Amino acid sequence: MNGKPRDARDGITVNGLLEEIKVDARYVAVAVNGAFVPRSEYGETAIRKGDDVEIVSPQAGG
Amino acid sequence: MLNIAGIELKSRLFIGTARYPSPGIMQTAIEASGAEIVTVSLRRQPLQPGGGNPFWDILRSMPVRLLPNTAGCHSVKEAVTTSHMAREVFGTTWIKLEVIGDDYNLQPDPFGLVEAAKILAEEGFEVFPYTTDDLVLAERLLGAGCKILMPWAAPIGSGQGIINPMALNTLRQRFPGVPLIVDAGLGKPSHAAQAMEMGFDGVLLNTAVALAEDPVKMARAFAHAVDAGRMGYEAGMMAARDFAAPSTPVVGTPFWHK
Repeated sequence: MNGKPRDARDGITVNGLLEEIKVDARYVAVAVNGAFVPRSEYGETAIRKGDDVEIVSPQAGG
Repeated sequence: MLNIAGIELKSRLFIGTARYPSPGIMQTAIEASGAEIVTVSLRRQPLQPGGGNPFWDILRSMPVRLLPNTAGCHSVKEAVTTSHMAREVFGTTWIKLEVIGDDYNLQPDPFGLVEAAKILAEEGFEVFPYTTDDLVLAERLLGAGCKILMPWAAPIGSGQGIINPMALNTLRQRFPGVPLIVDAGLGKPSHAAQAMEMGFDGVLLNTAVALAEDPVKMARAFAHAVDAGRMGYEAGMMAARDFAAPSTPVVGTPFWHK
């Protein structure tokens, strides 16, 4: 997750992962293996062992 | 009045949100700039549990329109995915498209930029491509569906000002009806005034304001410079010439004998 290894239950959903790390889903966007996962699909998108998960939020930019 | 993607803007100054000494100074500087469009980015979520996002809270309280960027993306796939994420988080189809080709001078990858622009434009994004001052690349981007172009003045954060006025002038002359925003590399208010005098529709700044000793005052200075430059352009400037011409009337000069 975000470039670092992390232990998680195999098959955990995006929703489950966000709850586990206590992140408000309204303030983030998620990609799994480089593909965007829309918020509407968090409940059904399962994360498998070895998947790359990116969780991003609004930050300063130029 | 500037019309960008169907939106009427009073200010021709676009401003970034990065590198300010504090979020408070950022907010005051943006207000002082009068900018109505501000750029933002997406970065990996810091993993402090339960932590809010003060930056985002401040921005959402401000009456500005957000222009998310794809800064740091080096491939078409990264840029397209980041655009999709930005659309969801920021609730806008506007995207400042950056596909970086070289890390030393943050020069756009022209080939990836055109490819990503085409994909995003077809998906309904309003693509604001961060591009070089290359004429043919500009043509390709317009062909890919971009309605706005953001050519650089100089590499991002360099503060060099307009390093190739001839190339930028060419873009202005060749695309009179396309909104052209000079993005990146401006360091001083006079650089912004120069871009506006050349007929550009606006400028986008960040570092020049954020890293000034007094960012709020500098934001105000840039706002004045943009207004002055634009007014000068609209007023129609005299042509430069290689010889002197007295401004005081010659007729009636005292002590004059022939």
